[in-house]
Amino acid sequence: MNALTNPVFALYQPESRYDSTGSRAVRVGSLNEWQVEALKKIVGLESLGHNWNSYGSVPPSAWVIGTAIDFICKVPFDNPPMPRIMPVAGGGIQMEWEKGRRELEVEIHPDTTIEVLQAINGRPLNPDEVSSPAPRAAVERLLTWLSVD
Amino acid sequence: MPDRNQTLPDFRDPPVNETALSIQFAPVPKFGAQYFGLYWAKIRHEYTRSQALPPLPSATEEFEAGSRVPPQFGIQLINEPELRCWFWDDTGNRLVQLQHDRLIYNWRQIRGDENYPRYPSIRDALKVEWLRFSDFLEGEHLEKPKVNQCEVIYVNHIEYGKGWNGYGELNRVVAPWSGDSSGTFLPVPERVNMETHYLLPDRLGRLHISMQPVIRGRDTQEVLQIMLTARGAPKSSSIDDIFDWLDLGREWVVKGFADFTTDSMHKIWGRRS
Repeated sequence: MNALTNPVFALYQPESRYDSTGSRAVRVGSLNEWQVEALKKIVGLESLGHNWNSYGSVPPSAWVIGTAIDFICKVPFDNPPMPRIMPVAGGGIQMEWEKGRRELEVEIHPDTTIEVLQAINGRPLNPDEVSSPAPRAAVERLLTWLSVD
Repeated sequence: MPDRNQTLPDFRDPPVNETALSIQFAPVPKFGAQYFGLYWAKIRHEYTRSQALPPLPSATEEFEAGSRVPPQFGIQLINEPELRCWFWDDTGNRLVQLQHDRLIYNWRQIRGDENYPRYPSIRDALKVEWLRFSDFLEGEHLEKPKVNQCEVIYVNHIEYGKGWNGYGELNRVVAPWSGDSSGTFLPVPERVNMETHYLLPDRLGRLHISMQPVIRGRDTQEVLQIMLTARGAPKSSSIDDIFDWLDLGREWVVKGFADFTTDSMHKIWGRRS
């Protein structure tokens, strides 16, 4: 899947920079193990240097990292499939979930937009089927959709 | 000013990951976005990198009867754009944060093997920045800052496997935690979060201790973070009163940390006094 054209929500500020400290430390005391492992992968992307892909890409920005962290922390389920998490050229992060026939891709862009692609049997759904609710509700709805079958 | 250092606990190898000293003031009128760039020009020879972030909410300790223990985070109606700027040096260790109502100086570990420079050095660095900021405001014909709160923050990272192995042995790290249960039903905790709050005498402020497992950014390692924040109002906006309060806050943070943690961990960290 490579056509991410369906924005679900945009421009909310990640909460992880709302204190006086200058070091990234993600609180995990109330999270599940899958979330902890996913967050380790996301936080690790912060150490990518420029040209990490040999094609001149910048690393994910602090906003992108923080937004991805917030997204994972807002998943309200104990044991969804472990997402694949990867940096994307241009400074974004992509998270992919796959469960049975269903696939969910969430791409966080450095221009502060978040795009979502849902697919069943590899076929993208009609973009009109996704609305723009509040972030936490959107995260819950997307992960619920993944587990419908 | 009494020399508080003589009576403070001291560790050869403290688990400090970051310290921050913050001075909060009433929003400076007319301090708009253009001044962030002008200020950076004054310090850019030392702080070569910059980044814009959302501002921190103002935080004020309240002492009225029935007020909540956590600091009051207020919403302020201002005409200027909300902005916080980070300015940091080539190493990344030294960071200055500036917004329309706050100046913060941070020292933070980036690689993990940097020696903690100790409070007097960080205090001196904040003093330099505060004087430079005050001179800048005066030079731009802006109002002097009216200081309303000061803050001292120490962030400590306690690594697993060094004196303890998981939350079943949290009593080996945290002195007030017994780890005992009344019965035998509960297993050992998977993880533990804790917050405690202490009043400073004469309503000079509060010490907040928060403890939680975190993923540390620089190496993605899960560690136990113990963050101590002392916050309160100085007697006035004079530089002597500001730094007198910061010294008091630091005293509470350091003594509080020593009280909150166990003797066995103190040995690992090389307690000297």
